[in-house]
Amino acid sequence: MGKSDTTARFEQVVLVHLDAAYNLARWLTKNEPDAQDIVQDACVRALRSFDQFRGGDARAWLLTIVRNVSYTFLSARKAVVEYDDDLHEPAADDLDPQLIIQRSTDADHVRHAIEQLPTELRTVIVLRELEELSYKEIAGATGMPIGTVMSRLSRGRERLAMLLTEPTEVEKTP
Amino acid sequence: MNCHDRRELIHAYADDELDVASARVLDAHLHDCPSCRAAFAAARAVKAAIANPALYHRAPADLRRRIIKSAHHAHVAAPAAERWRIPWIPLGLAASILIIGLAAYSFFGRSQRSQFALDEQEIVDSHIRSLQSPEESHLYDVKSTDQHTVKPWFDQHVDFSPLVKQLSADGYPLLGGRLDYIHNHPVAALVYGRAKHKINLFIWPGESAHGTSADRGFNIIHWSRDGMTYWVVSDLNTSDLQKFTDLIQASASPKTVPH
Repeated sequence: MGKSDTTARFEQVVLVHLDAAYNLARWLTKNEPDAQDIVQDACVRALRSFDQFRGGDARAWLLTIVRNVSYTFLSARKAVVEYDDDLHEPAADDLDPQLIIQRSTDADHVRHAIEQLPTELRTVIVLRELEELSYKEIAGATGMPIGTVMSRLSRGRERLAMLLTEPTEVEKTP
Repeated sequence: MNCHDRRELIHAYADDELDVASARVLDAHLHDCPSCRAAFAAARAVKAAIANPALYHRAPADLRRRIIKSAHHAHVAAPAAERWRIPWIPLGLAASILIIGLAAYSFFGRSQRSQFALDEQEIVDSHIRSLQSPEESHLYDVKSTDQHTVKPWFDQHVDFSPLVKQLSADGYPLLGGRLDYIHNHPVAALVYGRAKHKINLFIWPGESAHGTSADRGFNIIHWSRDGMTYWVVSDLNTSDLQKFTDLIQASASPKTVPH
């Protein structure tokens, strides 16, 4: 296959998922210039290993590369917020669904809450809710077992519920 | 199974990822347990809160164009290793030995060269990327002409101590630096200027042979010293770039070893 054929096929098969790639990188780095650099880097890498891409879901494949490049980037800056799976989260039994719904009408409030999650919880949340990947696809993209995907999703959502329903600054003041 | 252990199942149920049998059992439990029912409603409320189109970050309009541009730059045809297959025609012992010798030479010669080609390609990609970034956003992580600002920044961000020297007196002012990646490893990238040209100096721990080359209109010089590998790349002419290289080599002190 010639150079221009490969590049053209790459554009059709992989670059159509540019929004997904950028969305993930943007949520992981929390800023625009770094997300752009990461996506550009990830796409160049994807093109180089495009010969090894054996068909299948190009979006999941590209997201895997974006996730890896993002983690390398963040860990070099010591910016990965680690998550300990053995940590016992406080019981979230008294979550109030109505209050969550009420608080989540403000997109900025939700955005801020998601950005406060540890990197690995944020990763699975974004892949699931915004990219609508299946548990199996998330496991493939992140290299974690499906059981871990399941537990991180539930913990991520429970933390989010708590962050969303935390008393606001105004309410805290007596 | 207590209700605490059902938490993950409740989320998987909300995601429609439970098998039919488990879903039926959980559904019956939700019917009887107000606390799990509230947890299920909370899971769905959080899901709905995130699945808000306003939270989806779409790629900026010019990113696609920039990627296509760098893809055209970066894409190289796969190395034609197949060409070196040895034709096992009976040629007699002497001829065979000669062929084996040549094949071994070309194999090892090639693999070393291709490692170089890979380094060189990534270095030039990185150089182009740094210069193409809007408002030089990816050219500098630390923008300063003061080596006493740039040097401590690197000491905090890489686990080796790169040589940082101000060469403005020689006409090559230090402009800043950034953390970059070559083959997924963090490297120090220092940016120098020469009139309107920019020079990227990449430094990382490791040994490399000395050499000069050119790729896509950029001149490249690389060498190693005291356990550190150096690559300079610029659109500057070869003699000015060589002069810059000489200045850097002259200022290299034995302190530039990994700590």
